[in-house]
Amino acid sequence: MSTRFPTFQNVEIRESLLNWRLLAAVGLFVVLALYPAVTGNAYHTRLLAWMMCFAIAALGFNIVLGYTGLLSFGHAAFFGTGMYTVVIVMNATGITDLLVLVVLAMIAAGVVGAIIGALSVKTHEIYFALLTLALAQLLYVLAVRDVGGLTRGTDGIGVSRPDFFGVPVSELSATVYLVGFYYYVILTFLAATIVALWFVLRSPFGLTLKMIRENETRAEMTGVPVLRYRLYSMILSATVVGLGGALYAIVVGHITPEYLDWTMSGEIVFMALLGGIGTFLGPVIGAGGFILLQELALAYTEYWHFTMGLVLFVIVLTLREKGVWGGVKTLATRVADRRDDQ
Amino acid sequence: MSTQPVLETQNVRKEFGSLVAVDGVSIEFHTDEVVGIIGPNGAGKTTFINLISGALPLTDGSIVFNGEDISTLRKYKRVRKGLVRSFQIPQIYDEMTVFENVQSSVLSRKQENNRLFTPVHRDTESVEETDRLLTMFNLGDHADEHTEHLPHGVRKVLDVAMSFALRPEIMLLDEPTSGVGSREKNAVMQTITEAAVEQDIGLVFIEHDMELVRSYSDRIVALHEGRVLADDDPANVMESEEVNQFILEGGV
Repeated sequence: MSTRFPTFQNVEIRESLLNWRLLAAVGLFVVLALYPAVTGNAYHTRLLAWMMCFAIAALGFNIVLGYTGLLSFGHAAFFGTGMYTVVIVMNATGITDLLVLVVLAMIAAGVVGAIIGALSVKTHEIYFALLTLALAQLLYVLAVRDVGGLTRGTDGIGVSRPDFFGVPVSELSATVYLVGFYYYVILTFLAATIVALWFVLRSPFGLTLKMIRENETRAEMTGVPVLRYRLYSMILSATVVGLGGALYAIVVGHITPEYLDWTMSGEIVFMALLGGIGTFLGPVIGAGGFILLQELALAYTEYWHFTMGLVLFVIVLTLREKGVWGGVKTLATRVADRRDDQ
Repeated sequence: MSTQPVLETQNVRKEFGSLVAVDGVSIEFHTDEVVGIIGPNGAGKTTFINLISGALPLTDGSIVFNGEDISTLRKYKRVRKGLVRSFQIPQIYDEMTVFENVQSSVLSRKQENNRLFTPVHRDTESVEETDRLLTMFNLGDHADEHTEHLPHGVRKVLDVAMSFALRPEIMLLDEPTSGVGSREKNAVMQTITEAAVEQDIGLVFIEHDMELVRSYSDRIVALHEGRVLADDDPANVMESEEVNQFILEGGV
């Protein structure tokens, strides 16, 4: 598995493997980047944009579940906060620059993460899940009740298209805006998130989170302030999920409180489980798989919830925490081993 | 023996409801000695270590480390000051390699948990130190293995190695050889005591095997029903009438 350390003898093998993986990743991004231009298919582009927003959110969620080992059922709060921040700031202050809005949304989600984290990191397992669920539902209720007149209740708020560094891209038609500009913004943010988290989670900080997941007693007896690091991981996770939400707000164009609801949290958990929480890239695969599956299931049957449940049931039962991505990796290793044997 | 004790418990007391587990224990520990703690089951040995490491709050008394009262200090802060313990049941990270297990201790000792963006395997300093520790504790062969399937004896040694990586001033070992095969017990104790002498670490260990206690301790503390029965040279303790009556003949 990828958590192994290279030993000094096979550094070269390791490096070339890394390059091979890097090449595959770059290749995938090139394909993603060319897809809208080559096909010109607005429906597919929109679907891909949707997948990439949730891929960012699932990656962020996996920091808490896959690395620190905490099952949160309240991540809709961070996703929704990211979405609402974009539209509320835009309407209240007249700021229309995309990057400013996204950064503000990340900060807002991080603050909500700090608050929910501070109230919940002392609890464990099922209590943590229930507490995060309850705290996130509070936010949902506030949005539904339209407290402070910010959210316009269940009617929701429409989002207008932001500009980019003073360039009035918002004047483009909706389809051109998405296919010609916004799609690439999301793609860039996804790439940046993957690269940043790849380094962060392999750093001593990432190792510290894994220590807490594996054995809290030992981590504490190694001099690690466990609660503080759990809080850090919640804040980092919330910020990344908030980024996903902020980007998604502009894709959907209309925000309702359902994005703060617990079913949204459930979907994020589902994506991470589907792709594999024990792997770094699993959540990305999971987000894509989830949305694709949902589209397919919706097209062929009205019992799409049942279909999704069945798939998750089979995946979790057969592949456990490794998910689809972990399963593929295991298979690839086995094939490679067999080839070596021959 | 150095005159200034590194660790001192003053009239330490712990009650669980009406049960008095540790009943006013005052002992001094130094960095240049190996102290064996003996006593029958229920004598309060593990509770005593839990009190010192902060796993349990004191009912009464105080704990002084390097002249500073640490009685209410948080667990991780005691560790950072140089007061480290290992566990009777190995507490290690299962889904990580042996190498990562030890390196995590090295990095935590240097308080580098906050470092972002440097991959851990590129951090030459901690990688080299981890390699040295693995060699020292004969764990090199297992370096790249995940720990969950390792034999119990190896897990036990790893637990101790992780504590050593913290470079403590004093180390508390709760039955370092429990579950280790009888032939390996001496080798394990040998490794631990040699490493401790080399790095000037004071050792305190709980042990049921009287042969081991006799061979490796500079001083023995005998506990019985939460009180200190004897605290003296191994020879004197082993010959003490009370110790013989309550502990040695009791068939620990």
